[in-house]
Amino acid sequence: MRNKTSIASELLPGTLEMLILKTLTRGAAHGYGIARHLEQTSADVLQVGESSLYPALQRLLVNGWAHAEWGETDTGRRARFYRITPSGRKRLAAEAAGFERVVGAIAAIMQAG
Amino acid sequence: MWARFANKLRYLFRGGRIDRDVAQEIEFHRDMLAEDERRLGRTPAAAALNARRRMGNTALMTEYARDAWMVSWLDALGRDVRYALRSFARNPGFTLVATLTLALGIGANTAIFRLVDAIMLRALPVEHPEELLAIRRTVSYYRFEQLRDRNDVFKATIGIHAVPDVSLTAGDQSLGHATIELVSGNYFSVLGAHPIAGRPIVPDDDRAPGIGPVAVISYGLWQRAFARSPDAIGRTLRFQGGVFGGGTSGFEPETEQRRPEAATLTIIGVAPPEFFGDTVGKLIDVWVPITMQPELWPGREWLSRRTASWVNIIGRLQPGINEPAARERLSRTWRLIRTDEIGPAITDAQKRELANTYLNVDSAEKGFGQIRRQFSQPLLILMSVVTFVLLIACLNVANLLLARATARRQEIAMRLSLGASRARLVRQLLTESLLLAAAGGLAGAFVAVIGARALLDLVSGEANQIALRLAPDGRMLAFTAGVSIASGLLFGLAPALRGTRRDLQHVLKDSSRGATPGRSRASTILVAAQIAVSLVLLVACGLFVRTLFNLKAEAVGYDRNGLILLRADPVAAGYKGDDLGRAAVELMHRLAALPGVASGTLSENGLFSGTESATTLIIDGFKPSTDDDLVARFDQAGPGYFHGVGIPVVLGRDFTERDAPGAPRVTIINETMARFYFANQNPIGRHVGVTGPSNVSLEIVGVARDAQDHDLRDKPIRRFYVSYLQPIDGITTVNFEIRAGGNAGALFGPIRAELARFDPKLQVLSLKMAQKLVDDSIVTERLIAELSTLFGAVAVLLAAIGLYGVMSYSVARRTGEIGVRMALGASRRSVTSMILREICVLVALGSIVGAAGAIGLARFVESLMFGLAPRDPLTLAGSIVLLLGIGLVAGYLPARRAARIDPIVALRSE
Repeated sequence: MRNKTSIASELLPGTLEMLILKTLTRGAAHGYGIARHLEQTSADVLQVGESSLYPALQRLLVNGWAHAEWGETDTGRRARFYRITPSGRKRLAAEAAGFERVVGAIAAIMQAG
Repeated sequence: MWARFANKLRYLFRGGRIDRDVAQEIEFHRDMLAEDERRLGRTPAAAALNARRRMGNTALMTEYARDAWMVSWLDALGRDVRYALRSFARNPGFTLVATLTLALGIGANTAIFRLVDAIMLRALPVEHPEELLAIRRTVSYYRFEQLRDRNDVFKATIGIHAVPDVSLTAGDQSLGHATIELVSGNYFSVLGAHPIAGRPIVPDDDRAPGIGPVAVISYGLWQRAFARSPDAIGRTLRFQGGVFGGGTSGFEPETEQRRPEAATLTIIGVAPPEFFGDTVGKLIDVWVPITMQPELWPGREWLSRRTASWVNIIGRLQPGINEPAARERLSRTWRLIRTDEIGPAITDAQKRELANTYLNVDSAEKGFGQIRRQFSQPLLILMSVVTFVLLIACLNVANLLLARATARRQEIAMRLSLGASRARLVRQLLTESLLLAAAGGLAGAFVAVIGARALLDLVSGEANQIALRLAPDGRMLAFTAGVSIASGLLFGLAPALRGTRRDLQHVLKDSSRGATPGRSRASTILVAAQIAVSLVLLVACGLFVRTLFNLKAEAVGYDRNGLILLRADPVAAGYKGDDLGRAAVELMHRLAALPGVASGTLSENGLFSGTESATTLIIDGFKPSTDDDLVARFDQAGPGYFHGVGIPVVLGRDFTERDAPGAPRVTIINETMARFYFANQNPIGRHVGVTGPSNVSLEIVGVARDAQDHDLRDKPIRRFYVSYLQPIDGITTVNFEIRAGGNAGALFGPIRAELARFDPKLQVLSLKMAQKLVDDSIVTERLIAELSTLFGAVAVLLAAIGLYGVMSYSVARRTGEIGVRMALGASRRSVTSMILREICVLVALGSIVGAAGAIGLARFVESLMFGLAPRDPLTLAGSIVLLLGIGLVAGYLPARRAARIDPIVALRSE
């Protein structure tokens, strides 16, 4: 069995939000779709627990970074679709820059060792 | 930050929906997972089970989702509050001054609001008060019955009459004075006031005169007199006296004379606690069936007497009838009733008069509103005054906060540079402001509870009892909370925004310099604004005080000092007709003979008693241009009346005891009446015809100087006097005007004693100095003047504190500059005058704005002015001078401090 990483517990705080925002830049998506996208894109390395996904989505709504609306899926089911807002895009840019800095820093330390 | 705040607020209001959204979402998610499992080939049941397992604890998930909305917010709020409290604890002086200032402002507003609410805003605590309509006049009992039975407007019609100052006893226990109300039998059912014990008065209780000796008592009386004991039901109450008001004219019908015994009534019920009756400003203690009137007030057969106008009417409107329509239809009914009364002998003139007769109506949603009419304008003015005071208080606190923000700019700049968002800091500073406002509001609520009670005591003179329920309630708390929050935002926002500007970050680099010019400019504006508002208040206060003085100085036409007025009730004691007059004159002589009494006389209405009479006259050779031209007021006055009161008779003679039954009917008129009807001719010997209850002709035997009998604001009005012994209208009371030779107060006891010796049944309705009655008649003016003076003083004090603060700060900030000036040879005097000049500029700036405001607002108080114009330049100039003087006093200390600056020290500290 491959190693799986649960985003909420083992990544830096705020990372899950960043990943969700990034996902949403591809277009509106519902919670299930976001989870599937994250798993598939990370080739199942990143496992998104539903118990961290929905609170994270609520935090996006609270901060006004995303906007939710009820709609219909391709199969005609009712689902709640999230859409990134302009302030969400700004936030994503800031988070991404910070993330790169941190990752760069970590990488530098690891290589220096 | 605002978006986030708004989002969270939305959650607060629509939390349920958000929870539901999350739950539905999660359910969708589970379904999708189950579908996946099915696609992998599991049975639907196993798929569902697996999906549920993969989802984990969904309830917890919803909980987490909700936390996202709430926790961070509450946490931040808690942190802000703790931080604010710590910073208050570090600055107890600032906190105390700010809280007290706000408590004063908010308390004054709440106190006035409580009165405004109780008198002007609150609906009666009855069923569907909006359907109630009151007729704006009193009618006789006969006409009440006619209106009740014949109108097509009301579902139900009730008749009422309140009588204050009745002495009440239960068994041998005196319950003191009470207000009782005579009510028609349907009163309680129509208003929907259901007794909490016993039964209400019902139509059977007032079916015929005297058959319902029953009473419903108020919850308050039940508590006061019977300690809420259920045994109260069935006890008997005894009544004595009471001022039986109501317009009457004509003479009492001759009836079998009953010797008055105190009437007894059986208590049958207790009214609900919130039910105070039907009139704002009156708390009814006992309700009695209206047909008990003759039993309770023997000698006054008002149920049968058609000229006694005493019943107030409230009706419950039928659906679909509005106020104007009701007025129209009630007036039509009224005309039919009057036409029937006159009968076939109706003349064309009477028909014309009737066609122009209307019954005016008022909404009774808030109850009968004599008090409302009397106090609405004063209350609104006071409400504006206290709003201004609160505004000044807010400006003051804003100034304090601004100073604090300046003192804390290093801390704030530090936090900004460490990455705190400005929004976060503004929110924190606002939290502090709102906490201050909350503390001020809390203290203000206490101020208000005491203040409103004190205010009420101020307005209700003895002659003018006003009783209101003023228990603190939700409306008051809501008002206080609203005002506090609004104030907090008002005084907190600007300093918070100013104090957190990014450009303050240069402060960090430049920590030694004391001042930012911005703070100084902002607080200068605040102080100028305070001065402007203070000026408006001072001008208003000056106008009201001068009006009061003008009224007090208004000549009444006789010497009111040392004049005692005694009102008694001869009718209840069993006197009537010519006997009444004879007895009154005899008593007058006995009172005048008391040691210490200079003279004594009597009249029907007395002076400043609130009772007036008027009638229509017929004057030969006078052509009226309007109907009003023939109306004059009158009084029925005893022998030596003009000499006794002190009104000069300028032509002819005073009344004597010979102006009695059988002698020619005579009258004395005042100068205004003489001029109006007889121009330049001598009126002595001319005749005046009186219409109304008695059609008689009176010979003019004298002309008296004009005098103010009842209202200081009255212009001289036409008035005539007839002899008390030759009444043209039924006598219902007697007023003795007794002039004291020396100490008037010492005479009250002997006067009462003499009355009791004369006839123990003769009740004293009132015994007062004329001066007191006059003062009571201007209670509203006194109230406004006193309160606006109080609030004006508070406002000026606050403005002075603000000015002092700004100047002190300015001097401290400019220590260096002043040091340089002095080093260069400026004298202490020139430094002082430089500072004082700045104060003058500030006061001048504020005064210009304030004067414009005062002039603009003047028209709102125009109707309350007496003897001066609302744009009185003297008052305005005086207020500015006063404000300038106070400004200079407030600025004196900082100026002296500036003059004492030692240039060496100041420059070294640079």
